[in-house]
Amino acid sequence: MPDALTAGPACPHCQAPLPGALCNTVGLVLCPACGGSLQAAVFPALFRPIEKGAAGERIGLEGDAGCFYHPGRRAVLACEGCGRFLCALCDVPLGGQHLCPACIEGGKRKGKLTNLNRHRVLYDDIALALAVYPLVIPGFGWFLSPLTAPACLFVSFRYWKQPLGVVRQSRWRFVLAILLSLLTLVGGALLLAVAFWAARSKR
Amino acid sequence: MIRGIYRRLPGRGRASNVVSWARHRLWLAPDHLLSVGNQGYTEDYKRFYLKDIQSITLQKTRRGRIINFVSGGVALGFALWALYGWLLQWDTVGVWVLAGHSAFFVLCLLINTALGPTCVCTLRTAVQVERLYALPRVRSSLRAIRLITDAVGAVQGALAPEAIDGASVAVQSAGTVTAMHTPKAVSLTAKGIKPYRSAAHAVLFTVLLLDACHSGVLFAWQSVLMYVLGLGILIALLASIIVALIRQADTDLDAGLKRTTWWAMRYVMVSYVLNTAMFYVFLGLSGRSVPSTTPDMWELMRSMWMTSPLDSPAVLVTEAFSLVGSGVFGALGWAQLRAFRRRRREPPPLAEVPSLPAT
Repeated sequence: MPDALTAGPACPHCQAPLPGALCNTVGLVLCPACGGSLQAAVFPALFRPIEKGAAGERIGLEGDAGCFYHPGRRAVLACEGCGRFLCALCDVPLGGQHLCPACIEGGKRKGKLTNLNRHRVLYDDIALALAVYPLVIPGFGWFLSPLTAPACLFVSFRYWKQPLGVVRQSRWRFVLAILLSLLTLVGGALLLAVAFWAARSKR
Repeated sequence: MIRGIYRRLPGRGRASNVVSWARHRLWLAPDHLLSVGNQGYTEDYKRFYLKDIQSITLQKTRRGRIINFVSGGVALGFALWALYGWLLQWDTVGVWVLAGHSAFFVLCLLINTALGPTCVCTLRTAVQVERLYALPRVRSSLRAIRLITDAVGAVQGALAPEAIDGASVAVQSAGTVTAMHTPKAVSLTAKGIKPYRSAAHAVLFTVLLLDACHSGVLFAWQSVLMYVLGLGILIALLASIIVALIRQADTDLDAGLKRTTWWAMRYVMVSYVLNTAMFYVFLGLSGRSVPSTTPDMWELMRSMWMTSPLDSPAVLVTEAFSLVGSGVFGALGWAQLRAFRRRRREPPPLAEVPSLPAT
């Protein structure tokens, strides 16, 4: 509870307020109240009052440009996505850009605004799993590969252009999955051909 | 490692809750910190903008020591078992399998020791308090926090210790600013501490009482069925204690009740070790009395199960310990749980109504 009352840095275990000398230390320190080992890195934002959102200013002069969405409000800048004039209320700063709500919505829908992505499916991992797992599962896994190898190729080519994970830069998993699947298919075909040839030569 | 705008920070960990087993990592961008939770074939992201981060706290925990204690205990148990088998000239393969199990747990112990002490890290902004699952170890967390601190300092500037004390005092004394901060902080606390709504503790204390009853009955009646029942109770006890410890984390459950649960876990561990030791002592004594070099294990175990606590001091000690320990912890836990439930059901005290001036 002291954390709620002091609004300053507090021990994460007993919630006792921490003096400034125990904050932003290089190593661990002991809480003066509970004796637990801790480290607290405190930043100026903790003591900064919450900023109020800017409201659009009403058009005062005859020659002032109006906001595209609020014609009665004065435009302060143009959207960097679509070029529409925006008032202070409609301006959304995101990742160093100033965008309008419509561009943000569109960017989020198309997945073009990386900073708004909260969830991604890792198709490259799925493709690699389809290629590798049947090979490493002994016995039964080999019989699955005629199904999983084409499935892996489908996933790889179908989702090649889909965005990868946010911190992933290369598509090496797709490449490896395609190579393994092709090898599996070619190897399987060769094996069948050899078996067929052997059976035929026996006759 | 740098990928695009992101720089990978030290530390990786798993969300230690029942719902998610995601692997977490932290990545630092010029203007934000990215927490990546990988569930195998999907990833979830959380961004914390550097200008919004208010504090990062690290709290050292005892989880690492508990893991070492458990791994060491299990390794010792297997090692003693293997040694016993070797002394009695059991099948060599069996002895090696037991020794291999012991080596595996020794390896777990060594890896856990090498990784260093454990911790819990939390990040606070104006609207959230988030646990950083990617930082479960002190050593890597300190390095990661240093890098994050440098990046946040470049955006927000640094705070001197005097400035922190001064700012705290200013926040407490300035009415307008306090009004702005206090409700926010209260709501954060309300978000961080969840109301306890689980039957895990009720189940745990009931199972403990059942265990006490079971130990009591063993004084009068011994049979294979009773030992099978005891095994079932032990499994239920281990499972319910783990669930209770998980469920009580970050809840408004009484501190005394939480402490009792932790002590119950210690008691169960000691009881388990005591039972195992008793098992080996009993087998050792019986094995010596059996003339053949390869004794029939089933017969030995059966004879142990059928021994009354009144006939063997070793069995008497373990069963008495189980009867008293389980009984005390079960009854104490139930009493505390009932008090907690009663307190919660009581309505909050009414605010004093100002009396009307007499006319």
